[in-house]
Amino acid sequence: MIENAPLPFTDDPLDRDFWINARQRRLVVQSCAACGEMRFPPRPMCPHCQSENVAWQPVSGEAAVWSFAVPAPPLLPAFEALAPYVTIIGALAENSGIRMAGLAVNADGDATGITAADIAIGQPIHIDFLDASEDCTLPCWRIGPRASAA
Amino acid sequence: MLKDRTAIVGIGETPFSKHLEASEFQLACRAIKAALDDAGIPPSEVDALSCYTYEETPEFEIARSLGMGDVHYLSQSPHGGGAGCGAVGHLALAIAAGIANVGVVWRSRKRGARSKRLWAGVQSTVTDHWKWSRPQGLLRPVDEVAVLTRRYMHEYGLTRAQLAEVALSMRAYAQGNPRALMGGRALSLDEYLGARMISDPLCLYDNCLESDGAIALVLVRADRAADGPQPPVHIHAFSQGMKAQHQLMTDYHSADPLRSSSWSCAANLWRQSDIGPGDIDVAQLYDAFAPLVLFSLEAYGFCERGEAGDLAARGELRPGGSLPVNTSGGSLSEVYLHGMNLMTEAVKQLRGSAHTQIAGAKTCLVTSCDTTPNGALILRN
Ligand SMILES: [Zn+2]
Repeated sequence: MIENAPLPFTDDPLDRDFWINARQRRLVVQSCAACGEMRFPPRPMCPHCQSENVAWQPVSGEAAVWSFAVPAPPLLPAFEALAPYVTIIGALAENSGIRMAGLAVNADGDATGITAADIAIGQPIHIDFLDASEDCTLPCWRIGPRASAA
Repeated sequence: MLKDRTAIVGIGETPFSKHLEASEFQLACRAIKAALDDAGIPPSEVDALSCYTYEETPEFEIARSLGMGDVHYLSQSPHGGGAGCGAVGHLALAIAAGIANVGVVWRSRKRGARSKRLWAGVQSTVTDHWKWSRPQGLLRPVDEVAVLTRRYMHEYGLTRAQLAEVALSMRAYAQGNPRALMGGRALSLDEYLGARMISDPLCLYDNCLESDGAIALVLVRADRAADGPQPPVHIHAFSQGMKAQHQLMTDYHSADPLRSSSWSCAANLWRQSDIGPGDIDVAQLYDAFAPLVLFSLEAYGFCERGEAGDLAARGELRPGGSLPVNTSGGSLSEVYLHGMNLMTEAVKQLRGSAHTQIAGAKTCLVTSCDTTPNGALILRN
C-alpha cells in the first residue's frame, strides 16, 4: 500500500476493464475490435479506423525500459516516504509503441530504495502489480526479465 | 493575411519578486495600465482582450477596473506555458481581421508561495490522462520532462555539462538585467554540476524560478502603430502546434516522442514567413526547464536533431553567438511568468532598448512550451 498517494479513478467505462484486469494481476491493452490496432492510453475511438468497438488484449508484460526519472524531494508526502524511487516508462515486447509508466520495484516487490544506478535504458523489465488501495491495483515494473521457469 | 498587419506598441511589467504584497488582480491592472501608457492609448479604447486559460483575473473585472469601454473580442489560449504565443496570435488575428482595434494580452501570477505551485494541487483521485503517470510517481512537470531528457541523452549523447550551458548562459544574461531575480548571483559550471537533483537528470538550475509578477502587451493595426510613441514591433508570422497523437506534458505514446508539437508549429510558422531560421537575429525560447530550449532549437531548425547540446556548448546562445537566446535571463534567471517575459524581452530587443542589446536585431523568434500544445511568433521591427 502507498498511503495517501494520488490514485487513478478506476470506474470510468473508458478504462474500467484495464483496472479490473490489473486487480486480477493481468495486463491488458485496449485494442480496436475492427482493425486490431492497440492504443494506450485508452480512448473512445480508434484513431486509425474510427471504430468504437473495443477489445482488451492480454499481453505478456515483458518490456524494455524506454526511459525513467528519479524524482527527488520535496514531493507529496506519500512519495517522499518512498524516495529514493524510480518511475520507468516501459515499452511492451509485443508492441514497442505501447509505453506505460510504472514504479520500479525490486525482486521483493519494493518500490523504495531504487536508484538510477539500478536501471538502464533498454534493460528488460516485466510487469508486476502493487495493491495501492481496496479497489486499485497499480501495474508496476519489476527490474529484469521474468524468470522463465517460475 | 496576418503578415505584418499588426504590431506590439506597448509593454508593461510590474516589479518581479519572490513575493509581492499586491494581489494578482492588482498586479494585472498595474501591468495593463503601464502597457497602455507605454503605447500612449487610454484604457477606454481597448476593445479586445486575450489571456491564458490559466489566468485567474477575469476579463470583466480587468475591464471594469481599468475603465475599458465596449469590448468586442475575448479569447483565451490553453495549457500554461504553451499559451503565450497563442494569446498574442489570437489578438493579432482579431485586429488584422478588423473585429477590433486595440488589444491587450496579460498574464498575472503569484507563484512564489509553495501552496501556489501546480503540483501542490495534485488530487487524491485522478480522473484524466494524468492517471497514467501521477499515481506512478511522475508528480510534477519536472518529472515529466526528466523522462524525455533522459531518453534524449540516451539517443543523442547529450551530457550534463552541455545541458548546463543553457542555465549558465541565461544566468550570465541576468547579470546585465537589473530586473532579473538572479541578478548579482553568478553561476559556475562546478556549482551547476554539484547542485541537488530535482528529478534526475534535471538539477535545481534546470528549473525555472518561482516568482510573482504581471506583464501586459498592447497590439494595434500596423498603420496606427506607425504613429505611436514607441517603435512598432510587427507580428510577421504566427502558428500554434499540436502534433498527431500528442499528449499534454507526458507525450510518451506517439511514434517519435522526441519530435514534439514544436515541430508541427515550426513547419507551419516558417511556411508563412519571409524570414527563415538563418535570418533570426535573436530568439526567446520557452524555458520552464532547460532542456526545452535545446528541444526547441532543433524543432525550429537552428541545428539538426541531436546537435543542440553542441550548439549551446560552443557558446552560440551567448552575446556574439550565432543565436543569442533568452537575453533577459528568461524563466530560469529573470522571472517565471509562463513565458510572458520572453515576449517583452523580444519587444525590447526589436526596439533597441534591451539591457543586453543584440546590436542591430531586426527579427526575433518567440516560442511557447515544447512539451504542451504550443505556439510561436516571428516578430520584426
Ligand atoms: Zn481501428
